[in-house]
Amino acid sequence: MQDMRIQTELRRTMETAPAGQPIRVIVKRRKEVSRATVLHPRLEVTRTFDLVPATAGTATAETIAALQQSPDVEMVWLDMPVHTWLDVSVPLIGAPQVWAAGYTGKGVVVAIVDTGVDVNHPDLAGRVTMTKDFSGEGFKDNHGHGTHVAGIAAGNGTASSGKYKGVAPEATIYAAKVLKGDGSGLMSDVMAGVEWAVQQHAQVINLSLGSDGSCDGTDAMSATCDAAVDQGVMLCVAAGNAGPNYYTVGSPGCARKVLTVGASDDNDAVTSFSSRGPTADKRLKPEILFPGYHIVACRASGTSMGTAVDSYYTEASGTSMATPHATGVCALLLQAKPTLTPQALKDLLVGSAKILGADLFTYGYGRGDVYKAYLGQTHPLPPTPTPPGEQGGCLQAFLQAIGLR
Amino acid sequence: MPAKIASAFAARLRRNPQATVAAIVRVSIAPDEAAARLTERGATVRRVVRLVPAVAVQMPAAEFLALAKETWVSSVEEDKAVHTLQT
Repeated sequence: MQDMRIQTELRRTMETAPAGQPIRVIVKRRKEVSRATVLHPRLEVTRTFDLVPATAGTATAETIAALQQSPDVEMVWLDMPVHTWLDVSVPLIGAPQVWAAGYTGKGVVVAIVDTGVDVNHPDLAGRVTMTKDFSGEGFKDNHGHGTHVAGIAAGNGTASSGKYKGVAPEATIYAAKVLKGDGSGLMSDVMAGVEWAVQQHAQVINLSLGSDGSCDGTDAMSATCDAAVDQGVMLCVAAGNAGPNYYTVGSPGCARKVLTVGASDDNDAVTSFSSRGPTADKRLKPEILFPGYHIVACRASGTSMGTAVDSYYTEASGTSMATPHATGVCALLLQAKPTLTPQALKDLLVGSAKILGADLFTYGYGRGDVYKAYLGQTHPLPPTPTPPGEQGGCLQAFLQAIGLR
Repeated sequence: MPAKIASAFAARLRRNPQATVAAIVRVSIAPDEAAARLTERGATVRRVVRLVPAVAVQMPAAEFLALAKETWVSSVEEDKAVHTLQT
């Protein structure tokens, strides 16, 4: 009878967890028990609720067994992880409405400059039509990152009956492998990969990669990206994962002419890791946020990046995951409006973004909305604020220093 | 006029002049011509990028310090590591 007060999933976790390992639980209190009641001295409380009389925390299996015998406790559940599935992030940014209007990225070429792409993944098969290896390892994606990115931008969801369909599910994919199986590479290889994509007439290039440290956009890799934009190619570049401090956008995210992308979650909150601007020369970056928290997308065969969902999909977070949402969005818009220049596309995206907050160095101009962009529903942009640390920007720097940002 | 080599990188090159270093040399001449000149100076050419234009090479640190004096060299910067941006 006592066992009925432990959820089945929790009981299984208790049976397999090593002795002494803390387990995340939610303890439902009896209605008459106040939130201040100490349910068990060894329950490490993280949160208490009143809408449902419950207390969240961590406890060992031994403590949980004692809890479920307490007269104050009605039930104990396992506090399970939640995820932003691609089937949440893609509708959040308005992609299905653009598909309904007839635009899926068909005929638009997106180039994934990354760790390679699994060309045999069911969601991508037949649409990866050009590949080039710059890593020296051979083109195969031994890491998984490039395949995940490609799936977000342009996967068609075949292996999930459409559930994990990417933003531009009919776009053509080119892929340059510039990062090795350990996820690392050199700036010069990225430059070569970008140049190759330009030479192959890609229309959008995705760069979910970067170097450490603040930058001013004058380095060779950033200059190469700007030169690619000058050739008419749209570049979507990750801001970096060095947030929440200011001045953490790395190269090539600091390149002037690219669209630099930070990460939000499925509640439109900026993630703590998303790099904040400004650049070292005080320019506003990132310009826009897209979902990049717990994103499920294509898993490259034989790889273990992220948290595997099954053999075809894995979950990962980062501005790496936010950026291909932008890339896919650009593909949709370029199919609908093929004459858009990179600057016009950037202006359309930032002007139609959902404003998330006044701190533009954190939120950019907001979270991208491809349907509003497609409809041309733009609004005037707020003025660029004073950079933190400068006169008038001191308040923001102060708030960050005392942990109120 | 900005220095052709950033001070921190230049200091690293001076500290260990015999070490082989990977750097990106931005040039004001045709990059293939620049690659040929760099090869004559003993560099191993890794990449020639025409968009900027630049040549990515490896050679002893001291050679880069000498290279910066050439009029056809616009800048020399470290060929830094990059990485994926998943958390």
